[in-house]
Amino acid sequence: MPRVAPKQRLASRALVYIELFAGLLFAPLCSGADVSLEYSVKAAFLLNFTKFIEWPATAFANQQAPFEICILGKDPFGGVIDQIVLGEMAGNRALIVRRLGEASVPQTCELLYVGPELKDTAQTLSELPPGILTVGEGNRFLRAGGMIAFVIDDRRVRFDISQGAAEKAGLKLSAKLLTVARLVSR
Amino acid sequence: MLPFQDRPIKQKLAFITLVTTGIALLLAGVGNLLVDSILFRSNLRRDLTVLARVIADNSTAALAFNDQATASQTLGALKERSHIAGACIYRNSGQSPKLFTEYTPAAGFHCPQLQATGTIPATRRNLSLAEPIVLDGRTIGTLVLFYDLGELNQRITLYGTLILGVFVAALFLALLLSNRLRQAIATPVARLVRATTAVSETGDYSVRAEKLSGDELGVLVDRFNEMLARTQEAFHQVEKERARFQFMAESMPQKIFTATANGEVDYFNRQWVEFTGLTFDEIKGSGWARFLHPDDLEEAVRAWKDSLRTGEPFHCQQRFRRADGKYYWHLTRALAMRDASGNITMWIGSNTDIHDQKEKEEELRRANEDLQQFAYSASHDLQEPIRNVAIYSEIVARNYHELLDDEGRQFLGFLKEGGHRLAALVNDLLAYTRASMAELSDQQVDASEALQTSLTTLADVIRDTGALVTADDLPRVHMGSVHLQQIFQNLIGNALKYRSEEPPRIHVCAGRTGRMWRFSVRDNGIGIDPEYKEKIFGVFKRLSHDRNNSGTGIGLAICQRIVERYGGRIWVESQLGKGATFLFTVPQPGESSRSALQPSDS
Repeated sequence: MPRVAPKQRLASRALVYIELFAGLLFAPLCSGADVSLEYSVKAAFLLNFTKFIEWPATAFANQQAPFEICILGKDPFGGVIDQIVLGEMAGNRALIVRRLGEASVPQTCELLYVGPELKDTAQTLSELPPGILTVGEGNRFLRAGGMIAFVIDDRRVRFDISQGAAEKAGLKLSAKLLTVARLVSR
Repeated sequence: MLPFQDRPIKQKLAFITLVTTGIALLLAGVGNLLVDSILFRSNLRRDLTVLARVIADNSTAALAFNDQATASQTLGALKERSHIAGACIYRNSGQSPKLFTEYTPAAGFHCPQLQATGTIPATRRNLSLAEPIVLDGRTIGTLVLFYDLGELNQRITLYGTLILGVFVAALFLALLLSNRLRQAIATPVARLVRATTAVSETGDYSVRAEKLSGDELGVLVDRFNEMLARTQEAFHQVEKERARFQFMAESMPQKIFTATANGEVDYFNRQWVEFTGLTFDEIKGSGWARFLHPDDLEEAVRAWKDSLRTGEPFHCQQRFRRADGKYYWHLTRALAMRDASGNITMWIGSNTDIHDQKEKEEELRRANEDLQQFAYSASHDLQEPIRNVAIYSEIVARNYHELLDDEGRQFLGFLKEGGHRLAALVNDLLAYTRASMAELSDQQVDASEALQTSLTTLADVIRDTGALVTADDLPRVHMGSVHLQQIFQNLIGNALKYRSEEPPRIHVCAGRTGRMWRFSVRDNGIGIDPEYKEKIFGVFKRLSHDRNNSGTGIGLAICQRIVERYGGRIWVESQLGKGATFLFTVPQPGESSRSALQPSDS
């Protein structure tokens, strides 16, 4: 039986964020009207991606190395993502958020969010080492070589997947993830 | 409605068959249904759990990424599974889970509100099964499957109908079969009942029950037939006995009758009917009073009632009237027949014609009376001439002594002696006839006094012989004083007379034997040869012809006469040379004459 046990404080916090989805469902999502709500959802999605994707062991420096979510370019999430990630784990690893700004992508990143305003996206992506999941905005991101792209579909946040790119980077995407994706390309 | 126990065996058998078959079928059916239903439920739960787990697992991503469409699609897969009333996915949010997506193939089904605890309010119609949706160890939602129990109910209804159908068919078949099979029991029983009814109604013991089987009923029939055969045999035996009795009774010269325990005459033989000239119907019961002499009636009725009351044999002499009106003396005897427990079942009686005997007895009695009268008169009348002979021979001997020569004196002595002997003889004869005719005394006498008187009379002889006479305490007895004295005098006189060489020792004593007083007079005399112990009581019987033992030989005859007149008995116990003991009995006052007639043997 499903039960909301008090000991699962983390889970109860997760609920807070999932609650945000409800707002998305019932409140029409206008582009630019409430950016923080949209990005709150996307931040939660980023966290969820870690649950449905398997990283190769080589992606980490060692056993104790944290799971790093890196934000390249301008950070659209603000403090929301920090709240979401706080206390979360990816497997056995602690989750941390690194804001890279315009700097180069370090080897330690496992998930790289590429902001929409970044130039030379394709260039940046092509230079990335394997073992890094790339998440960006819009269809162009996949064409530029990204793996998962957020899209707004029928006023809801969804995503497309480039399975080929992900596999090339040594990532294994769960079939469940693929089923909920809007589009999956090889 | 008859109670079950009174119903015919046929119905009972049918009922038993139906009830046992019915209960067995019902139990089997219900058991089957229960087991099936339980198994079905547990199987169902297992199947549904597996299904729910798969779906819950497949729904994690959809729930995680807020993809209702995909979740609906996942739930849509349930349409392949029949009887799913609905499937609901709830997402954990805030305090209470909220419905995320639902699948409702059944009309009118709506996902209910999930409780905060994650439970579903139970309904009769649906079986619900909740499965958590877990993402990375966290429960992010709940899948609830609703299974339409209509299927189970349908199954139960179907099974129930089937079982009912089988039940009815089986009962019908069982009834049909038992109808045929129970004949095996019911028919022999019915035959047996018919046979017993026939026997009991007609009394015909030659009827036999037909044996149809070798089972207990067959044995019963055999035993019943054996019983009938034995009854028939016994009946024949009784019939034969009855015929034999009737033949015996009819062929006897005597008159025979039987009476019931309460005295009603229920049978007279042919001799009775011929004697009285009346029909049996006229004389049965108490009809005998009609031909009994009126003078004998009262005594007969009293004695008959006595016998009926006590069960003692009936014994009576009475006169019955013949068809020609003349009365004849009969001896009537009747004995009670008793059953094993001693109750009187009937009386059997005979009436013997004793008329001739009775008349001869009467003649004899008169002749005897005449003879005694004659003997008394004769001896009385003889006394005087005899006394004259004695007196005058005395006178002649005294006054004319010188005139006679020796021979004459010797002859005169013979004459004198003969006269004395004749006088004694006549005296004793007179005493004997007196004893025969004397009135019996109603008074009691003290036997000791009577003995004393006798001893006084015998005092001279006792002194001369040097005898010693002793006696115990003697009782008072019912006898005339003179008579008892006479007995003692004769017995002690004899003892003195028939003495041995030793001085006589005589002892008198008395004791009770039954209803009698028994006296004994014991001596130490010469004794009596047992050969003569009967004869000595006859008149003029003397065993010794010794001149010393002079006597008339009438004494013991007189004793016997007296004792027998009082209903007693006298006898002697002796052996030659060893003394003699004379014994006699005297009935106790108040004892009935019948018992007094029979001396006790003890």
